[in-house]
Amino acid sequence: MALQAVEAVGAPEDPRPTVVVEPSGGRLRVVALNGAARGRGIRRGLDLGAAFAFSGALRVLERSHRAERSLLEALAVVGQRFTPSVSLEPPDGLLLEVHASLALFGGLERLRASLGEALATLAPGFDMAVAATPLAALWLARAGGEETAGDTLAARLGRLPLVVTRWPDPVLELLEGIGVTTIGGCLRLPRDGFARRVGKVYLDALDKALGKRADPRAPFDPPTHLDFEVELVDESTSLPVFVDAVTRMTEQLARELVIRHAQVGRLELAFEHRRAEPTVHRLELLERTGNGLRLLELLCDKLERIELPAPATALRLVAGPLEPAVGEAGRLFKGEGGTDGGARARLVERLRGRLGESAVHGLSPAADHRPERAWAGTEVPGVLRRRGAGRPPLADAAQDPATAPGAEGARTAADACTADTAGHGADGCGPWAERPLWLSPVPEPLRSVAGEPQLGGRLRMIEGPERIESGWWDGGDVGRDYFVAVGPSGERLWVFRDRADGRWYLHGRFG
Amino acid sequence: MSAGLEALTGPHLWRGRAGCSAQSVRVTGFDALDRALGGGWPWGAVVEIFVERYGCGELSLLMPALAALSAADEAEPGFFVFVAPPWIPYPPALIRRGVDVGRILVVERPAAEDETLWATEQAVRSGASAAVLAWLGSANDTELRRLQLSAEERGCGLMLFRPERALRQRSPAALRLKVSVERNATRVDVVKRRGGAPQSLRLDLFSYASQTARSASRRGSMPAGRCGASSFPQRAAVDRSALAWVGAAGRRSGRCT
Repeated sequence: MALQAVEAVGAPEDPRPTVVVEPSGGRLRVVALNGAARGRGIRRGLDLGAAFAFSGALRVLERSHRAERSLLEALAVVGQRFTPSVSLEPPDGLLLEVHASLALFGGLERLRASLGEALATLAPGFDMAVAATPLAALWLARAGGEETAGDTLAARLGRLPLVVTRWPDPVLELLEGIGVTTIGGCLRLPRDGFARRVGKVYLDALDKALGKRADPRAPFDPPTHLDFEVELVDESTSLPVFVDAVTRMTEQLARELVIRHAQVGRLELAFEHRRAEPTVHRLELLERTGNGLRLLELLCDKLERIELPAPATALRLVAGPLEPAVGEAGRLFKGEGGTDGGARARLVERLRGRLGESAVHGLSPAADHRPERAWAGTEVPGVLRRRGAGRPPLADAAQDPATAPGAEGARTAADACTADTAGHGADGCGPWAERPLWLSPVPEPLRSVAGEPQLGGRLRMIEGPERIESGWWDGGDVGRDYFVAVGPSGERLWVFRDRADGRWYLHGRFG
Repeated sequence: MSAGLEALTGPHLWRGRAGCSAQSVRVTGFDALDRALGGGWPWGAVVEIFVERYGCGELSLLMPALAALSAADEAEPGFFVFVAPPWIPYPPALIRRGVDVGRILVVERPAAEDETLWATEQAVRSGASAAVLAWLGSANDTELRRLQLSAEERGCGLMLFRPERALRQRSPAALRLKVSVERNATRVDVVKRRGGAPQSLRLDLFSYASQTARSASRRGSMPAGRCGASSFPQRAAVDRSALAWVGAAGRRSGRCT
């Protein structure tokens, strides 16, 4: 398990002798090894130096408890295909309550076979055992999963060596001292004496294994977030160091997402500092993805823009909530009309990552007579939210109550605006209702000489006035006379005279 | 004709204007301009438009082409990206000219000029854009060449609006236009065109805009307008668009039969 956890999932077994080591008692000891290493005579518990004596070309990997845990969780997710009650037995055990699933999967043997096949895709080389109680099944599996049909549970357990219980070493040594090396031996000891001299918990464990005591287990709940952390060797503000750390975390993340068949839409990158609160940067994706390269690209774009108050000691990447992966519909022919899948969302994300959230937006018309309120910025261009384009919607209406009605509003406003032009056509509307292609965000005051507006020279009015009076009910009262004016070098401008104070303003240009 | 002569007139022989037909073009919507540009806007190439003062119809020049792109029925319509526009592209006016505002992506003017270049290049290279309009101050030959290559690769329309002083600069653009106003009409000077000679023409863009608005409205749905006109008395020039808005609302709520 420790070996499989640190190896890449699905990688073919390395032919070189490989060991996984863990520091214990000030030295590195072998905790797991592959077949090739076993063939050279290396055994578990060996010192790393001694292991090198057996084989010079030894591949050494460091044990990662985090990786083991996540592999176990991934296996639990697989196990949930067979039964809802799965529980974890860290570091390397998995318990499945299969009684209720027997009928569905066609009996115990077939269930075992298909479960074994499913688990082997992630972690080949495990042992499986079936028993009436969870603890007995666990012990039997640790003993290698041997099966003797027809025996009683007590008889099957009785043959097992005591090490399968993984009781602490002093307990095992105590029992060994009185000549007890199997579970059967323990069961033959007087109960009250066993409880007094060895411990009540161990007697309880034996009772649980034999089904004399209830042994409830907490069901496994798949995590909704994935969490990765890289501790930096030294405090750092250097971009290459961060990029390297983020790359490693993103690779792990992508691997986890593949295992879980999941996608993420939100990432959080935190920099931990020695004396300050962590700096947290959030990354919201317009489209959920499980593509590691794309996530890495976005994160690296983000990294380039990040300013830290202090050097970072560690980086942390939290991804989630996890959503079930949605397949992307590929297109047979590329380049013919439109864009390839997701390119538009990626563009928006890239631009936002570097220029900031607010610097990139879409446009929509709005139903108001006041020119400055007859438009609105939308979070993303409306086309990204349109349905029926053969792609899943970016944000479900239920998930995104803030923006979804807005998009709806924009669409009705667009309809209304089409009707607007229709209205003008129907009653032969003249050119005074013309609107400029450029609108100033705020009306720019114009200098006026003898009541005539100036902009580098006198402005000549050629159309107007068009009076707009509106907004008395919401505090944004305007009363304006709009004119189309020609500037000194011939440019067409949209100016108005405020009816309240008689001053002139420039509000747009006919670009 | 001998075989030798046939071989001579193959695709590798440069034959003046006829040699430039390989470039893909999109009709501009103005006959005179189409003729001057040899068919229309070069697509998949850099077009530089030099404007002395904004407001001389420089954006209107592109509206028919954007409207044609909006009308095309595509499964994944590309963006119209406006990079660093000097003011707000005004949705009501864009809609009147037939442009689908839902496809517009506005990138506000970044603090640094090289960010504008970066955003422009991203927009072109992403393959997510149908057309990119960028307001660039300074850009050197190498940067323009890079944009040119990206546009070629993606087949995306790229219009760069540049200050007039940049005209003196060398440029790999396929087309360079200078836009100004002369006697109430827009004057377009073709400064450089691949495979073509420089020339000037005048376009009446300002009345063109209102003409398209009228012709578009004739195609539009009539009941909304009638409903609006009848439900409100027409008072002088108090924003006629108001009437149509009300009309549209009436139609939605079903008051108008």
